[in-house]
Amino acid sequence: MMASNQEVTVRIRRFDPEAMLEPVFASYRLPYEPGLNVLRILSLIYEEQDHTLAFKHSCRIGFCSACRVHVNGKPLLACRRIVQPGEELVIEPARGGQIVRDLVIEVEP
Amino acid sequence: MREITSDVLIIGSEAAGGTSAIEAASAGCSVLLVTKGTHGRSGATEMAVYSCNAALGLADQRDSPDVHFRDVVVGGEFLSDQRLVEMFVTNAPERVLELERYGLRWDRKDGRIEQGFIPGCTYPRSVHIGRITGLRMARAIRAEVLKHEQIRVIDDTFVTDLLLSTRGEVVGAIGVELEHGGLVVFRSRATILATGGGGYIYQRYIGSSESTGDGYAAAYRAGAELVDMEFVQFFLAAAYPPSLEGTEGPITPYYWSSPKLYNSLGERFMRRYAPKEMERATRDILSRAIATEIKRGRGTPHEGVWFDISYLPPNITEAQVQEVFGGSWTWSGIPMLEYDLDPREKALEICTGALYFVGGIRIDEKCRTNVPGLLAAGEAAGGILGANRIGGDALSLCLVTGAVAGQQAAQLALSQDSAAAPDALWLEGRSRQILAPFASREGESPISKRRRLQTTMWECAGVLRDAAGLRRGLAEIEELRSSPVVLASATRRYNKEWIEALALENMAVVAEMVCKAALARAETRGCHSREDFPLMDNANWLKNIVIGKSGPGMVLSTVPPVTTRMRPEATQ
Repeated sequence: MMASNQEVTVRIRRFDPEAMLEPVFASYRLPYEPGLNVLRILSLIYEEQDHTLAFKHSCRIGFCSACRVHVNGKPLLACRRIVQPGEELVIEPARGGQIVRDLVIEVEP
Repeated sequence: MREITSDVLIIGSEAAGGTSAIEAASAGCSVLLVTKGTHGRSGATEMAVYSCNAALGLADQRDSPDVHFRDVVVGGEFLSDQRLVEMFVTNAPERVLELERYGLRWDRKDGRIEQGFIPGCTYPRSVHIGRITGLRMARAIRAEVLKHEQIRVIDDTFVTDLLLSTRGEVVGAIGVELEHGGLVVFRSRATILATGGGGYIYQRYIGSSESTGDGYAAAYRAGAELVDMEFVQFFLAAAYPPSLEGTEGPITPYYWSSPKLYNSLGERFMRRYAPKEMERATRDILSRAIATEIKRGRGTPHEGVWFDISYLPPNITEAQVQEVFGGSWTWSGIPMLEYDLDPREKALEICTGALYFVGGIRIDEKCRTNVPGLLAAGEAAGGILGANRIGGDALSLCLVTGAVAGQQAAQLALSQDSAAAPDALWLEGRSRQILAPFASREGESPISKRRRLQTTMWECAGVLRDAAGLRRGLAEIEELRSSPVVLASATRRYNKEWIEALALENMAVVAEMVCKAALARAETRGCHSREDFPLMDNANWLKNIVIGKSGPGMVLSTVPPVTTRMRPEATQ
């Protein structure tokens, strides 16, 4: 279903290895705002729609790589991925580590 | 409960904590370096843009530790503990050069380390690496830490409390391993808090959301004294768009160009606050001016002021961007043009944000606190910079106090046979408290409580303060602390709400300290501004406010600043 131009639709892969047999995709919609980026989307969803979401962030400015995720199949930093009105995003955890929960993966030592 | 033992335990892993670890390991100790983030890739260090001050005397031969001493004491409005300033300025040059042994390379000009100028320094003494000084420093320190086999790094572990023996000595800490939510006990013979500041208690904060003042709160609960907690430094940050609120990238022209600041009336308002320096005034004057303009209803649509370099011909700005960022329009992590922020064409909305805690855990010149077994370093430690911080002193202070604390912790650890046991009864009770949010069936989400605290602190204890606002702030903090939380998820695996609840306990204690100290200090000095007491009052307030715990209550007392060399000049 197409989002209206002033909205963004997001599907996020949710998984808790202790509580679930397999991942599920949860859907969210939020209004577009100027300068929207994926980290802001995750923060808004966590703060206002779904407090159970797990994701990481630290510097907000693309230095620390705590917020690395996959968006529409591409690995990137959530804080550096700017979003346009009407976009549909699929957000999954970064590859290369065991999933702790949702978008949080184990940090390689 | 898992238990890990080492000679030295360090909580906080960046410029101060990482340096401590290197020094303690070099002295022969086993070291645990624990962070709630990721070592080398979290906290405030890697976000520092430019300056790191040391009186190397390379840019100007007239500079020396003596001049640096004077600048710090004058800049801090004579509230510094001057023994600590001696320790700082004397050791800064050596510690700055030490980083080059870790593989970092300071910017050079004509073969010499380049030292830039920051307002508040008599001579240019800021060493730097492009506009990514902190990033390079964090990575270099991490690389050096990893060379030491005796340092064990533990990431993603939130230390909630220090452990005390029945005699009141610090003998370790208890924490939560965030990935799966298990509790872990650390036992050590010497413990260093290098946990950074508390900026996240404010709605608008510059830096990372990890700055929740955990070390201040843990030290306080363990019986340590804190000093100068009313002095929170605010500085310029983006006000808009919401994704960038609090980031510094958009304001970096402040360091290379001559931005003009305007209020909503199009007035260049700095004329009324600092007619001579205008936009080159020190951070406290700028912050006060901006906060006042916004408060008086002359702010921009997103509660800021206008920051303008568009008056310059575009080719001048482009030449400067070429010089500073190699032509890239990504400024300190922010791709400006992608955010439709083109400073050649438009003014930006900027505001102030909480940047640095000038006060902190009270230390002596060996970084020891008043609690046996406990030391502090970096932004977590207080008393050195008095009432205000000159840009560039934070990073070098981390390096110096980190090194001193590491060396002292090693001495302490090696002089003891073993660590005393923690108070087992207390440990059991506290473990249950840490897990209590899971048992709660009704209450408020920690997320909304945290947002309420941040809003309260921004309104009541921000740049501009007054008695009524501070009292209201304290009442709201009290209500917040006594009402229950409830979690939306029962998972122990990276449960962000649970982590927020734990951090909120610390944030509330720190907020209380800031408000109480700010309420007590009936004057304006440095970065503490009282609208009801707008002048500096040396007759009554040439003293430090010390905070401690007595029973369940917070107690404030005052002490005269320790002066070794300088008395306040006759002013006011």
